[in-house]
Amino acid sequence: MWSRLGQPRSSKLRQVFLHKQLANGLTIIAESWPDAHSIALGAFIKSGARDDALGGSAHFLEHLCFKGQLGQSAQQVNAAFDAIGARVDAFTTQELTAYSAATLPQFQTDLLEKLTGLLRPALRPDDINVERLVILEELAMYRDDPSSVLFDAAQASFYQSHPLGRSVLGTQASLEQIDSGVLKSYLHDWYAPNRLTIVACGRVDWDALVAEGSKLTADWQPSIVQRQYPPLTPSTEGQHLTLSAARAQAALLMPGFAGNDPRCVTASVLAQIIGDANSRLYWALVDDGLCDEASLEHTSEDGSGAFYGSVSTDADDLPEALERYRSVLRDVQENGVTANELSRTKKKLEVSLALRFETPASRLLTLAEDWLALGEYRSVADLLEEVQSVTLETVGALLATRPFDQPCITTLEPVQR
Amino acid sequence: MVWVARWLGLHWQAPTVFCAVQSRFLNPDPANTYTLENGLVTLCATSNRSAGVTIEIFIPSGALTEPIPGCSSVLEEWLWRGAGALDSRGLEDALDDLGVQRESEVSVDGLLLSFACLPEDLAATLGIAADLVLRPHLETSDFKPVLAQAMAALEGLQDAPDSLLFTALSETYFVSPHGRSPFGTIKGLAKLTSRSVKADFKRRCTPHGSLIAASGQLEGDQFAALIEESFGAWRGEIIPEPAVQTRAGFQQHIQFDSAQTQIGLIYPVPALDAPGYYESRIMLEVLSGSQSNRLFEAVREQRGLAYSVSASTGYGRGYGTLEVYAATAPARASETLEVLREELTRLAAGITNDEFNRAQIGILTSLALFEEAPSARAAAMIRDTRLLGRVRPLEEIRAAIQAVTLETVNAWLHDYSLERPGVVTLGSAALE
Repeated sequence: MWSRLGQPRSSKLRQVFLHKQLANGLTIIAESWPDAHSIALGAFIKSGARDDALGGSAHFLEHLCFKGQLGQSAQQVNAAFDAIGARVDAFTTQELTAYSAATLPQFQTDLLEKLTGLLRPALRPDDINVERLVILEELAMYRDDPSSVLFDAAQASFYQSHPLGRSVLGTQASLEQIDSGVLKSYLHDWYAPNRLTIVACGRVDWDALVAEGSKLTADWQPSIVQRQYPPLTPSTEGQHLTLSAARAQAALLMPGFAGNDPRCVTASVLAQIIGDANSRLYWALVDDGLCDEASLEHTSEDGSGAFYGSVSTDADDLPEALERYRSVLRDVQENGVTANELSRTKKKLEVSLALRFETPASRLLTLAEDWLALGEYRSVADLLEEVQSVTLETVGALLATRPFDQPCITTLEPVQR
Repeated sequence: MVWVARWLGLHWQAPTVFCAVQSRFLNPDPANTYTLENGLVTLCATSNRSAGVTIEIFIPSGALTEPIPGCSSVLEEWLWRGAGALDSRGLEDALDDLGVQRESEVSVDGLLLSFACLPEDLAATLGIAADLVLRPHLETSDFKPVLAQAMAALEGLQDAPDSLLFTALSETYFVSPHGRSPFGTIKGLAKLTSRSVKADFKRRCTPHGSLIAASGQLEGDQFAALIEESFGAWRGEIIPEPAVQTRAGFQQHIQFDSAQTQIGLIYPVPALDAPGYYESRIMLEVLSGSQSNRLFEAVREQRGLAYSVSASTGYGRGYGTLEVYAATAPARASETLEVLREELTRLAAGITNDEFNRAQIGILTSLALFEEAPSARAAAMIRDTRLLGRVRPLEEIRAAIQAVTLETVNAWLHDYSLERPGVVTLGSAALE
């Protein structure tokens, strides 16, 4: 199937990538697995919280899409998916909004029709008012989760007024301002065919997919709206939060590398060496019981990227935990990583790539994210090649940019409930 | 896709291509088990669709039979601190050198060690797993940090109000130890010593009641031989499990400083091997599994009372539970609880033909999708074997779901009482 690693014996049939752009700008892509037993299908919109100046509209609209088109109730929408055994997974991030589901191949056309139908909601004021209550409860749920409060604050500090610092859910005040006018405008601007990619994986009937996709969106008009890329100057000044909580925590944000920057793969490998399981941070902070968690990840966005670090410990131990954390970062930045650490981490990633895409549903999101971020297809073999291309030299070159010099640190001090 | 994962995890156990006609397997298909002389049971499902092998090792050293609360989770953490010829770091490096993915988890029933590796690394991975289970170092010098980790995990529950709620719901519902939290208690953890945990390891880490399952790209004979070689020398006693005892119709509030009030209801449902199980499976799909489910419609779509509302089932030996959950603002908690109770009570009047059809399609489709994911089968085989004493073939489950009719579901719902839940709420104010 892909590469020399972990090849399923049954995959004699080749996976094929297919791609078509329609006249209205809609893109359809597919990774066809002829021997699959299912199909996963998704509608991915290149628009998220960063494109939503008010705050919370992108996410609010995602909720409203399940309320039905004109003349259709929410119950009817949901029952229609149930009738083909599909359950839609939908989410909104800073970068994108996604609607996807998996089912049996014979339901491909039904599923496509229902997924595209979601994207043209009626936006009735009564539905909006009820859903606002639901989203306010979602906000309250995250308020009860200290890690979410910490990371929202950390992100807001790090990105300041940059769009990437916006909260996906919005605030109580912004949610009060969202009405059908706001949502209709957002829908018109961002749910246009030229912002939309239909992604399929599994046993795909490509000709039918293109024919149906064209028919279903025949009267959809492209939009001229463009994503804004204001200059990003990340802050190094975090916040200090005091919260009803049991554990002390801190978030450390540092500038990273954009999805289209070749260094982003090296950054991910480096973050794993420093802050995954069996990592520098584990042995320095967790092994002796000082912390229950100490990690580092690298995330690539459209146009930028960031290292996200986190640590959790007893209330009194946070200063020592942060000191040790920063000392690990300094040491790596000054002295680099070892050949053993690098080869071990690459092996972990290679095996993970070989094992994780077992079903079309498990492959769909990566396929879509790569396309949306890069505008090109990345096969699993390509992903493996990228991992294999990371060397001590690429790590050294990245560390020479001194990414860990000034982390933006936000701390959470627990107050006894 | 939490829903799918949870559903598959709890209900699905159907390998399609077992290690057919393997001489070492006493009863190749469909029983597909091979029992070692020491009592250890192995299970194997071959699938050429998989690029690797998934191994699950179940040891009956869960909270259910632990001598001191928290003992099982401390032991789990301690196992990873060096085994066989490898110290703590050597163990992690050896697994990483093979790219082996691993995790471990303690539940009320037992300890589950999970590994995923490339087919060519099966023998090496099983060798390391055997070191962990049979030859952990359990160094006294590691005990303090291990205990600190367990304390931190227990304390961390206070930052997850939903977990606190479910812990309280189980602890109150079960009179027997089946409701114990695997995290233990502060008192229990404080009582533990390296000596007591080591003694517990020697007693409860036993091949009797333990299960090793593998699914993916492997041969049954090769697997059985590897298990014989790595685990054949394991010896231990049989650990008796207490009988299940539950209570019904309780209501309890836990005072907690939070933005939302957490609401949990618990009901008994038929065990995996009890009459009515498949009818209750359809009921769960209508109540909470399908996209058009009743709880979502009544609580969220119509009234906007909650973001999170769901129901799920859990199974152990000889019992099943249905847990219903919602979280909402304190001012709307009483109304939410009332709506949840009404929805459960309303089930006695039956479901509609449309609901039944959608539920059946949903379950059968999930079954087909599951069939495509060989890695999930090892855990499913463990669950079936522990709860039923055998692995149900895929066709058996499919046929059982197809044999259920609207009439049998509605007759079951009519006769089965879902009117006296145990209720726990957690939040800043008690409900009126």
